[in-house]
Amino acid sequence: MEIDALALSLTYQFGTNAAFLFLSALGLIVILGMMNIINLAHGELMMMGAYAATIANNQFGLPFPLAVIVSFFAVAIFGAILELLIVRRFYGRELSALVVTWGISLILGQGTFLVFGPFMPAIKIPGGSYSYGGFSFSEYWLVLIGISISLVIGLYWLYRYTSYGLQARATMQNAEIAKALGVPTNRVYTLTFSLGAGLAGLSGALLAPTSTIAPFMGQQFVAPAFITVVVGGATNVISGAVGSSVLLSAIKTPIGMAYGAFLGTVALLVAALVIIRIMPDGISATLQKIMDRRRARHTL
Amino acid sequence: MLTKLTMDILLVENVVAGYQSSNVLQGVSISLSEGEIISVVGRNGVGKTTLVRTIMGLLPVRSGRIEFAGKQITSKAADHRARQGIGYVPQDRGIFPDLTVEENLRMGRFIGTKRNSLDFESVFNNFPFLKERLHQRGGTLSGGQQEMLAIARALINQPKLLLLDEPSDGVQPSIVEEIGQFLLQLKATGEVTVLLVEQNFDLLQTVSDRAYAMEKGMVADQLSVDDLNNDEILAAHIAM
Ligand SMILES: Nc1ncnc2c1ncn2[C@@H]1O[C@H](COP(=O)(O)OP(=O)(O)OP(=O)(O)O)[C@@H](O)[C@H]1O
Ligand SMILES: [Mg+2]
Repeated sequence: MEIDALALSLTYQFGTNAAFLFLSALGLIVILGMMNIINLAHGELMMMGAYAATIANNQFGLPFPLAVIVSFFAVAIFGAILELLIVRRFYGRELSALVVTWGISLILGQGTFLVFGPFMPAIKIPGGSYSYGGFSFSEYWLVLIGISISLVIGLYWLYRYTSYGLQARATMQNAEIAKALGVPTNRVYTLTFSLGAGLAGLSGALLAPTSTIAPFMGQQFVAPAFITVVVGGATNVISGAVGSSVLLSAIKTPIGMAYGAFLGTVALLVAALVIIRIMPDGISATLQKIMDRRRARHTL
Repeated sequence: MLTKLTMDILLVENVVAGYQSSNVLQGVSISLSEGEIISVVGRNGVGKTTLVRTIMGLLPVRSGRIEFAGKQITSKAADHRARQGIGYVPQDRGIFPDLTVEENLRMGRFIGTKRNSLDFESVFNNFPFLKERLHQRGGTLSGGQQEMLAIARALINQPKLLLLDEPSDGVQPSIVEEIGQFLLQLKATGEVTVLLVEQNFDLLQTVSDRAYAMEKGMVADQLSVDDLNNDEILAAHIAM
């Protein structure tokens, strides 16, 4: 009985931590993996998603699920405009892009502070919670775990089976050749940046009920997001994000439960350092090497 | 003089183009009639690749003009030109290393105006090895295999013009011969015009209808089939 509840709670905590890392990193890894841009405004795009959801939910009375969808599109459109006006001038100049997105993040943070003040009314966590054997399980986090899994499947489908997905992966690998084969690469970049921004907004909206809603709330997501992305690597966006959030959570969760959240986070950082040391190009590159070897054996 | 029965599919007139540091092409003019295989020969560094890249739209035309299938394309972007029906096989083959062989082939779909369902059967007929390797990453193929994949990709949606930049470069002789036979079959269909940049004598002599010889960024000479089949004349235009 005791063991049952402990195992269940461990699984739940593991899912929760993995979903948090995955959602935090999602938009960042799409933009980095597909466009090679380190988007330092990632946290602020998540903040915008949280604000959009809060305003849609509190001011316009939209049900929370709808407010989340609105946030995705609102931030995606904002991302497209950002790309068309600013970001596209800095392709192939990684350092400049870094500085520019940092500038954008400052403007967005300060701008939000000026317009909306130091904080927004919170969104109540939707749903209730279960308790079992002395542990409590939030319905909302169970939904977030489910949404994370759906997002993985949806993104896999998008990048594997659609024309946009194929064009985007080709453009990422060799933009000049993709263009010479008829791909409107500029449009692919706009769409990809917009998608990455929209996903950051979606994650921000989804995590909004679990957090204080304030202009600089994005900062709390940035560190876990970057750790997840670096550990995952950019070889394959989806396997990188999933592999890394699952692995890091598998280390953080048991240590966190046994020794407290602080040591859990320390363990996560140490694990990240060790993994980067062993797999300098991230988990996704290592996974790819393994797949190549297996395929090569099949054809020989 | 006889009137020309076929129309010019590609017309390059006095084109000047190059890189930031300098112009490489110093006023190049060539024309290709439908269904021909026309070669461009010349020593290393004379500007053959620069010419092909300029025709594809990857380098801007600084003066002169380019016409394709009766339309001015001088200042059109590369993706626009591809969608008009220009297939391109770069000198380094341009295979996407992390896309599978099948996905690399699918990338040929955006060339040309039609969006047909892709004819994988004819690809496998011409290059049977691709069938077994369909799910392998492009980057795991050998140089010669990548060359054939790049050719198959450029042709899969029936372009009007194929730009082929040194297909023999870094490819083993048996595969160069295979590519030569394939180009002959392709010519027999009469559906595609080919601009072939080459330095390999056998391949040039097997497939070319005629050739332009380049020197220092200019067309120095035109070679007939007889000129091409004369090793000495050909050597004078290619060898160091
Ligand atoms: N990216 C570049 N930037 C500046 N100069 C270049 C660039 N690429 C080529 N060049 C120069 O332009 C000239 C023509 O090069 P090009 O590649 O067109 O020659 P090529 O005839 O194709 O040679 P090869 O037979 O070796 O392929 C050379 O002097 C080369 O050094
Ligand atoms: Mg060349």
